[in-house]
Amino acid sequence: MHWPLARKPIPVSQLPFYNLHYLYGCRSPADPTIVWGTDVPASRLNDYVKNRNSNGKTLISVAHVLARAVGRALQRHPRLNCRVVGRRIYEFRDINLRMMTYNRHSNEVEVLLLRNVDALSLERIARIIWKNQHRAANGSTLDHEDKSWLRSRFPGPLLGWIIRAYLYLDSNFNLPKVDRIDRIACSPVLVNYLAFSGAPPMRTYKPSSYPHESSTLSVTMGRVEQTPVVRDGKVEVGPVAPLFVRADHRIASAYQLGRFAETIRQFMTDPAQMESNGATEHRGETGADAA
Amino acid sequence: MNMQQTELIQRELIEFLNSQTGASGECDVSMNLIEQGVLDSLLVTDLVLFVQNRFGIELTPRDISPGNLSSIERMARLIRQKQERQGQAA
Repeated sequence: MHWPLARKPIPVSQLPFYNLHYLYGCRSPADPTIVWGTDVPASRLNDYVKNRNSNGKTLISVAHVLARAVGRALQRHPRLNCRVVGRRIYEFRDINLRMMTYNRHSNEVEVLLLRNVDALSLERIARIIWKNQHRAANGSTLDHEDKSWLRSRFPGPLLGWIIRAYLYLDSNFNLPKVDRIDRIACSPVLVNYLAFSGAPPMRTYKPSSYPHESSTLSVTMGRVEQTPVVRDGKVEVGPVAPLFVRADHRIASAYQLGRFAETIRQFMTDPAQMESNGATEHRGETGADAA
Repeated sequence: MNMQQTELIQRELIEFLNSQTGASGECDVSMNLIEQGVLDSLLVTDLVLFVQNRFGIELTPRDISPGNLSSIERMARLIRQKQERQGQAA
């Protein structure tokens, strides 16, 4: 007989803050998660990004286009812009989304909330994200300061109980949000572009659900790769990116999720569509989804 | 002297990018890194940190533009400009 694990656990002080959320906040396994995976033909996406970068003053990446596409897709599918609180479902008033910035130096994840993303231009989205990444690199984001403040004032076990209490309250009561403290709960969707150098080709990905109930949607895109594609019945090599959308089955059906995924796919396949598509154009589709 | 300094900066940038991307050897300093898909958002952030720490200059989010980051040549030019401005201010 032997003990495969060390006698003492890793001190809480050595764990990244976001792992603590999952550690203290996860419930027993009851998984209403549904995931839709698809591919995005990326020829026009690549051309679009190149074109914007050849003319623009702000560096545009696929991640910025993805954020915009998700905002526009939520505008088309408002039934997905919701969250579960206790046994009830509430709609969000605005279309906000959250993105993550991984800070390799501190091994921490910084959260960025993009408010009213459906109304923001691509350049504006890019500027906000770069600004946040720049701050994250320098350790001066709100998120970073909050985490430092919490860690410096509360020892590990107490911090765990605070996180647990907060997640319980936020999951069960429709409470007002204080920007500084729980701004990330102001959005139902997490958008991730996982195409960092050194990442292997993405074949499947299941985005996690956040321990409290606010993260009912997640959109993840992987790196654009050259893969065999069928065009007009012929096999050719072309750029393709994987796309995975996770939804909470308490809010969305597979039909709604599939249509939401297809809307994002269309926008990413041909981002120029977003330049012309206004909200009013899609009211009919919105109504169909809501029916 | 300026030319030599610019070349040194370019070499350091190439070494940094090689170490981050796993590439090796020389690369064309005028190659468009954005179009080639070399620069991802994490790498841009790391690059900004590296430039700030190594060359002692301050980069702002406004500096993260295609005009400044699209090639090693342009990055080196930006660093030289910032260094000269700092030198004049000192």
